[in-house]
Amino acid sequence: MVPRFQVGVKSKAGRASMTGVRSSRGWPHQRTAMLLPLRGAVVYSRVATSMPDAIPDRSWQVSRAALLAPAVAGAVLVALLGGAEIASRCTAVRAALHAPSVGSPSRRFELQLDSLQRYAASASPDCIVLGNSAALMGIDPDALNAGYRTRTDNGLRCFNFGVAGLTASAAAAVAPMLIDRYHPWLLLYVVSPRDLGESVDGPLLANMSWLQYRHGKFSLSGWLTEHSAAFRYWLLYRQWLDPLRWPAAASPAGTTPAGYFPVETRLPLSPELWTFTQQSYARIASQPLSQPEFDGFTGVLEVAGKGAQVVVIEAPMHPRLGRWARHSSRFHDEAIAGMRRATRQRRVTFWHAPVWRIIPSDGWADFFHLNPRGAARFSDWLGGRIALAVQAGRLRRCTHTAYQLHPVTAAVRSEFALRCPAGRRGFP
Amino acid sequence: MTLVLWTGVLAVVLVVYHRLPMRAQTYWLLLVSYAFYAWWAWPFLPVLVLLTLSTYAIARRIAATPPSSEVNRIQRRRWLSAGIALNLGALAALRYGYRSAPFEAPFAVLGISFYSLQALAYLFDTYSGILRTPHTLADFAIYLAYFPKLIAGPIERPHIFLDQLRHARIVDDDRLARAATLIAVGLTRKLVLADPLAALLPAAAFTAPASLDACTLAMATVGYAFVLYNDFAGYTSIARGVSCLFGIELSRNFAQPFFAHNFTDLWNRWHISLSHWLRDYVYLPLSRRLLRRNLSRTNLGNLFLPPVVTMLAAGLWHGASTHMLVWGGLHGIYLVVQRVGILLRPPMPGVVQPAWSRACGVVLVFTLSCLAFIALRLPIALAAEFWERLFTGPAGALPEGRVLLYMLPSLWLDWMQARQGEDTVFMSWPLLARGTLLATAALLWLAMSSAVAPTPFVYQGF
Repeated sequence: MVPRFQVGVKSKAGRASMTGVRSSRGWPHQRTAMLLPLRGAVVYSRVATSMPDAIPDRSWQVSRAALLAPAVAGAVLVALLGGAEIASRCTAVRAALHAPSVGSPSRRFELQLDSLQRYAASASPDCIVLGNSAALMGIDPDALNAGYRTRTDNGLRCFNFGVAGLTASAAAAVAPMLIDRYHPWLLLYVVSPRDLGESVDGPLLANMSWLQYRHGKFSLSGWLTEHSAAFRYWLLYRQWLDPLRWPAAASPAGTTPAGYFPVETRLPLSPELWTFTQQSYARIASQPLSQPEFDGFTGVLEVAGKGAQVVVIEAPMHPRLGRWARHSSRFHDEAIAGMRRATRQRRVTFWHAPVWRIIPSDGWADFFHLNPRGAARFSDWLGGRIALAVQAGRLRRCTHTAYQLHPVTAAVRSEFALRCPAGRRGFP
Repeated sequence: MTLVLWTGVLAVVLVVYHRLPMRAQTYWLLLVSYAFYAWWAWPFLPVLVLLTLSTYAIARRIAATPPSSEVNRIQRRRWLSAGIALNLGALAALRYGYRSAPFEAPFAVLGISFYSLQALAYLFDTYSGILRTPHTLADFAIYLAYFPKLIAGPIERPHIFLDQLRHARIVDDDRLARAATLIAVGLTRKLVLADPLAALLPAAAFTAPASLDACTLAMATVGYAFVLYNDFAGYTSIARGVSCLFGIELSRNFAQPFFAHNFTDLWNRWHISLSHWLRDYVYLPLSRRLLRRNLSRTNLGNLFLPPVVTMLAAGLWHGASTHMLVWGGLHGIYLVVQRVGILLRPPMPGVVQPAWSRACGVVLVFTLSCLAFIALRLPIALAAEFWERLFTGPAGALPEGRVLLYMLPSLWLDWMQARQGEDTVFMSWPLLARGTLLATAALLWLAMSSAVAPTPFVYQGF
């Protein structure tokens, strides 16, 4: 027990007292002495022994008023965040800004997502082309629509969601998101054997927090990406701090409104380019097929039963490269055979384009990619194949197309047509 | 995540601390400080404990031996020498024995450069009689190991720090606001200014300077000065703020160093706790000894030796390598040149230095300090390459303008603090302005820390 004291004076005017505890420097005699000479006062003092064994003054003496500034700061913070969110959703503001980010390692993915968002704002696309750079540069949705239209009464609104380096595992993560958000009745998956090789970029894309969140794995950044426009812009503009990343982040998409990326330049198919292409392909083909990538491929096929029909198209490859790839290693043939087997098991259509017949010799940008001339021919062929498949009943189109059907045709088709799923398209 | 974790731990420590009686608070702080140290560098905890015990024992012996007779004086000197040898020996053995990895754990948080200087200060002050009242071992132990200042200072003076342990450490509204402001300013300096600016500086400037042009190197030089300042000042501010929450005031380490108009002024503004330690325990004793022999103003020994020796000691304290000595030596030369200038043209009494002259002084001091920082940052061969390229290389294009976006707020912050001579200037703002500033700062912390990976504090490596 620490002896506590109470000393004070009692006078006619009232009573004044002080309490305290004896400190290491003794009793506060000075203050007591000051009280003593008061006339008419009764000086009293007593020592209490039942006081708690604690220091007299608590060291934490903060009042509630101290919370005022943090409270104001909190309110201002909420207002700032709210204002940023509202501004980020304004059309005028969005028009002045770059395409937002979803935290993807691939800027092309984000640009394509933004283009698709705009494309789907007016009407849902009939089909989405998914694939790597061969799809991005090889399929012109306008030419595909034209090819389809020449064989049917109506058109086909397609969006090319090609992303350079999109391997099968990444495509498997992206495909359900595209189906879920944009409700195409047809998913054209353009795949090349390269997409089934060992990859670093593919898993990176598949593992980004937003896609993981959409697949049911909660994360704060995933949730914020899905629900907050301001956060998506922040994900983009934070790259401004990095002088190495920002130029790529700020570069324009360079695609048509339908997502096609025309590469006007045509590389001479020189011996140097041929050697380089062989080496780059051999690096992938020297390894066995990647099981995670192959699982990704089958994952894309799984969406066939979830609201959209899937057609797998072998990506165009220069005939010379195709011949070399088939003869140089077993990788190419094993990949194609595996894809065929998987599609057959899941009753998914697999198309192999006769590129030697369709693509003119000047239709190649390099050994893997088509230039606009080649892309137009390839897309026209693809549109025709889809039209034939629809006419033959192997593919059924749904009825939400933006194109007007002939009334009789519409009445007949509606008997067989899929009912298009309705719902939200993309980000809020 | 680490920040959230440490905030949680700090909250628990604070709650317990403020529920304890005063004496128990010291023991609790000591326990927490040792736990903090052990968390990062447990193999070196025995070193800290042993140095604490032995230094305390030596100081008690010194205090118990009054300098009344020659025998006693010799005895006291011997004990003092033993204490100095012990602490400097431990410092040299640990600091320079592991100089290959000064920034890696556990050396990153060793803190021996800081607590050994404090132990020496305690010995010196006991010897000189500044510390008259005896302190308990617990008080002395917490003086060395107090966790907010353990890994990177400030280097506290014993009488100031220990005096606070004798009184109730009250945290009221004002002190809480002061703590919050210091922490907020520190976080802003670190997360919003230092780390993003460091990310903007071209990495090649510090690895292959010969590959860059002069403009880029000049930008890297100036940028590095701002990074170093904001990083270290940010750390100190956070440490002072955290300490305030325990009712203990730590001393200032920075006072707007980029506004210094001469080099003496600079060392009264930059890493104040170290420069004042060196002034009191190296510069002044040496100068006094020299002046005792010759009291003339033109005593050449006194003109040259104290500043050069002091700054070389500062360099050596930063690291036992040539480039650190070059950095210290450069500052020693700067100080000598300044003293010679004052000797040749003594300032007229009562004449205030005109503003333009002060401004020129500020620019000159800043430029020369930045040039010296190159030696602090780079090994001597690379530093020489850097200087050569900076002065003789092609000018190149105008450098990245974004660095200005970090330098200007830093200067604004300094200007605001300089106007009132107080780091917590924002406390006097109206409530709404304070709230808005805090909210903006919080937003920037969140934004910047997610944009740029936070880096360890620079002076953690010492």
